[in-house]
This record gives sequence, C-alpha cells and structure tokens, in this order.
Amino acid sequence: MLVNRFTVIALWGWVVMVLALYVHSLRDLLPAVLDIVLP
Amino acid sequence: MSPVFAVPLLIMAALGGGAALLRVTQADRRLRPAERMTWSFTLGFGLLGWLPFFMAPAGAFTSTGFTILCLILSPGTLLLVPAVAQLTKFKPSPAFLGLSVLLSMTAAAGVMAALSPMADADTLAYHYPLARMALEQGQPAFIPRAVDGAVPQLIQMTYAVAMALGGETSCNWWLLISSWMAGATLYATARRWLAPTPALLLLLLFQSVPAVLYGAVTGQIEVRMAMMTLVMAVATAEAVAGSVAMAVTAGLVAGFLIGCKYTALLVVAAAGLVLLMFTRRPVLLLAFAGAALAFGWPWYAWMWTHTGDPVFPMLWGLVDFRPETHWSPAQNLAFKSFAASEHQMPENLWTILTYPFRATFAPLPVFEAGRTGFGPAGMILLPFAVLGTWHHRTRLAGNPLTVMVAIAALAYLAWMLIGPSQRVRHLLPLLPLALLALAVASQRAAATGGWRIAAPLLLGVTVTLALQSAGQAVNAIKYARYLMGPESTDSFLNRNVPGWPIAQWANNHLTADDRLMLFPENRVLAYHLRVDSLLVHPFFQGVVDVRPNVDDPDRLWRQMRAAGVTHVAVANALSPPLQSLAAQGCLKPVQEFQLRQLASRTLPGLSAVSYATTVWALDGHCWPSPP
Repeated sequence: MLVNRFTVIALWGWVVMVLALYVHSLRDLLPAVLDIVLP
Repeated sequence: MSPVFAVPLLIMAALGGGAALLRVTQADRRLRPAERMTWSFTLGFGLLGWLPFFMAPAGAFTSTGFTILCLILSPGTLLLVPAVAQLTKFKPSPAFLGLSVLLSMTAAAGVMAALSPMADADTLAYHYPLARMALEQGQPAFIPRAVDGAVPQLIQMTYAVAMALGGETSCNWWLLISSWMAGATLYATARRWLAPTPALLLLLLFQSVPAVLYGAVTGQIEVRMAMMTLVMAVATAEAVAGSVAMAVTAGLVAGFLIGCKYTALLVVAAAGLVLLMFTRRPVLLLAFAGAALAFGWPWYAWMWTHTGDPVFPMLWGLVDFRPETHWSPAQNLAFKSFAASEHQMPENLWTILTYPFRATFAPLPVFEAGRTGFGPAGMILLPFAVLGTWHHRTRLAGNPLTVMVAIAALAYLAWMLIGPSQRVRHLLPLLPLALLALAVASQRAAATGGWRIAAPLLLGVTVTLALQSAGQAVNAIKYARYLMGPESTDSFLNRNVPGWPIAQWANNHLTADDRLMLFPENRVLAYHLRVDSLLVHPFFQGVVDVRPNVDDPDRLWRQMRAAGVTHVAVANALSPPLQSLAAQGCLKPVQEFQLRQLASRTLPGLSAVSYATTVWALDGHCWPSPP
C-alpha cells in the first residue's frame, strides 16, 4: 500500500478539513443551540 | 392493554413471526446468531405490517384481532433460543464496554422521546392519523391525496397494530425499538467483516446521524426502511453466491419494502438488476422476483382499486383515474410543478457525483441537510476507504460487499435521476450500506497501514461521534424538560405543536357533525383533533381545489360543501376566493389565534415569526354569487 509521508499528511488534512467545513456548514444553527443550552 | 404488556408482545410477535419465516425459507441456517435475531425482527416487522391488510376483509382489523395475531406469532421466538444462548457467551472487551456506555446514553435519549407525547409534524399530519383512521374504519384508510395519503402503508399498519394493543405510548415505544433494530441489524451485518468494537462504533455512528435522530422516534419510515434494505442487500449478496433460500428471503423483504413507499421500487429494482448482473441462474431470479411479487402486490392492488393507478398519480395520462380521486389535468400540472421544486440541482452526472459533497459541506435549503442530514462520517471515511479498497482490489470480485455496494450505487443513481426529491433524509435507506462499505474498507486500510493511518481515522470518527452525540443531547433537551420538570402534557404540546390552541379549541367547540378544513400550515393538527378534519393541499389533492392562482369562489364553495366541511382554519392572509367568500358572508370568523411558526422543535430559536390564524364557519344557507 502507498503509505508514505504524503499520504499520511493528506489524510490528516482531509479529516481536519471535513470536520472544519462540516461545522462551518452548521454555523447558522449555533445561535439557536446556544439559546437553549445556555440558561 | 398497558404498554408494559403490549410492547413486549409486539417484540415477541415480530421476532417470532420473522424467525418462523426464516425457518420456512431455510435462510436461518446461513446466519450468525446476531443476524438471526435482527433478521427475524426485520422480517417479523414486515409481517406485522403485511398481515393486517388481509385481516380487514375478515373483520379482524381490531385490537382483539391484533392481540390474537401477536399471540399466534410469538411462540416463534422459541426458534431463536439457540441463537440467544450463543449470544450470551460473548465476552466484551473493555473498549466494547466503554462504547456500550455511550450507546446506553444514546438509547436513554430515545427512551425520553418515547415517553413524551408525539410532536413530530409529519407523524402527526399523516403517519399516526393513517394508523388511527385505519383502526376506526377497520381497514386501511384511503385518502385521495398524493404523497402522504394515497400511498403504500405497510409501516403505518404496524403502527396501527401497536396503537390497537397499547395506544400512543406503545406506538412511540414501537418506533424506538424498530429504529434501534435498524442499528442492531447494521451491527450484526458488520460483524461479518469487523470485530465487535469497530462494529459497535459503526452502530453508534449510524444511530447518532442527524437524519436517524430526527426520524427514529417519529413515524418517519426511512429508518425502518433502512433496516429492510440492509437485510435485502445482504440476502441478495448471498443469493449471488448461489443460495436459493437467500434469494427467496431477499425477495420476501423486497416485497415488504415496496409496501412501505413507492420509491422503494427503485431500491428493489436495483437489487433485481444486480442479481441479474452477477448471476446467470434463472432459479435465483425467479425466486427473488416471485417472492417480491407475492409479498409486494397488496398495496399496489389496493391503490389500483381505489384510484385506477397502482402508483397514484404517476401513471396520469396512461390509465383512467377513478372520479373519486378528483385528479385533473390542472391538478397534475400543479403536482408536477411541486415535484420540480423539490429538485434544486439538475438531474445529471455532475449532480450524481457532487451531491454527497454538496449535501455535507454546502447544502441547498431543499436538501434539509443541516438538522436532518447524514453528518460528516461518510466524508471522513472516504479517503481511508479508497486506500483500503485499492489495497484489496484483487479481492473485490466475489465479495458480498461488492454486491451490496452495487445495489446502493444503482439505487442512488436511479434516485438522483428520477427520484421524487433531493432531501438527504429520503436517502436514509441506503445509508447503512454506504457506511458499512466505507467502514469495512477503512478498517482494512487502518489494519494494513498501522497507526499512521489509524490515528487520523480514529480522530475523525471520534470527533464525528462527539458532534453527533452533542446534537443528540440538544435534541433530547425538550423531552428532558417535559419528563423531569413540572411541565404538563398540554404545555409540552403547546410548545412543540404549532397551532395546538386550534386543536384544543376545536375539540371543545366542534361536534361530531362538524368537519374542519386544514391547510398545510396546520396539517400537524390532524392527529390531535377529535373531530373530523380534511387536509387540503394545493398540489397533492383536488377534493377541494386550493391551487395558487385559482380564483373561483363559487367552485371552491361547492367543493367545500360537497366534502362536508363546516369550518376552515386558515392563516389570515386569505387567498382571493376565500376573501371573496368572507366578503359575501359565506364564511364567518369564529375564533382568531396568534400562533408562532416553528421551524424546529429542537431549536425553536430558528424562527421568530408569529402569524394569526382564524377559524371560519361556513354559512350553510349562503350561496356565493358568480365572480
């Protein structure tokens, strides 16, 4: 299998990017979430 | 019957009926213990929705009839005793136990939802009303309304059985159990390729996906269809390997599946096509198709009997519609325009390739991907799965997962090209297949590449799980407030069901002779109304034609009178024909309500729009003048 340094860096980058983009896509929900979570 | 007795009886009936079916097809010999349990439930769940259809003509569509049915099916659970004995020998690892704690927290959130009154809009608008109406009429209820009325109702019939046995609470529990059995089926299937802990991790990922959280303890049928789709796909893969018993079982589940929803026809067609592609043995194809037809025909025959179209209203122009459908060329055009509005991306190859990315990272509003999407799990797993697949590429041929992925891919292709909507949650039946394939291939990559690959994979999965669990916790807050605080049921419904005061008023002021006409904005009231109601949708029905831009008060009046409508609940921005009727005194205002629009029950802060709705009474002596 092609497991070199590039592959590993790319996988880390992918994971971080996916999570960041996903959370970013939910940004509009954050105020409403804080509304009910915070007293 | 108390839910304490009704729910275990339902579970026993499903397990027993399914186990008996598996014994008849002899598919149980090829299954591991966990699969025997989950497949039994899946088949039994289908059976509990299938048999009531035939009980109606015999006058047995009653709580007594269903109790007897469950008592007859329950002894079949004895067939599962060996499987249970084997399962109890399982020794969980510490990691497995740790994940089980997280799992029990997820389950606890589901239990809170089951113990609370139903408040989901679609469930209150048609899933539960269809079940209740069927019980009242002693047979499946036909409503001449496309999309949510004149539809296959196999799953709603299981709700009717649960309601008949133990009321709404039993039905809520039935939803919880059947949704969790979808996850359990995924776990049992994953155990073919994964160790217990990764398989449990996969179960957790699936069970906490926003679309699953949204649909699990509601009447939404997609989670339960996911369970059936998974079993059908595995059975098809086994059939490809040469098992006639599995081909029959796959066809049997396919028959149940198409009884749930028209669009399941696409998934079943994909399975049939894959069987055709991967095998040359006619007996397997005949077994699959024969069983699918034998168990799938009832709802299509029922629809044909009532409408003249077995897939109402899709064959408009090709077959003669019965007059009682009230369908017309203009209504069909309106329906088509609505269907087109459900597709914001064009049906082409680019959409097919990019939709999963778009739906995860930059969804269009029509995808409803934020609160009811699939979460980031699939995207996280994707590159790892590509690596794992590439590494094991020589072993793809002959692998059952290849067959299962082919079914999911073909069904996805068909859905994106001719499916009715682009909502993410409507694709939920395919999610277990996709997640399973991605997880197995990712695990293989991690196993081959060691920690350098496993570390980013674990981080991604852990953060995804944390995000989804947080979402679940937020989702559970409304139930926790109700169950653990002083809030009354009335107050809970007032907080979560828009227009609840209208239902309260109608239940206190209208009589058995009245009929309240509801527009889509108040459709959620259908279940809680104790008086007769009629939901008029501008695009789905023509009983009372309320299409936009149609201004014919005289016709509207005649249609309302013919439908027996005595009152109308409608937002104060009246359409021109209703304005005209009000101006002529044919509609008289009875009661006005100030209501708050609810974009989300979980996140009420998403919408701060208030609107006024008035209940109008029809003056029976009025005859509007022509325009």
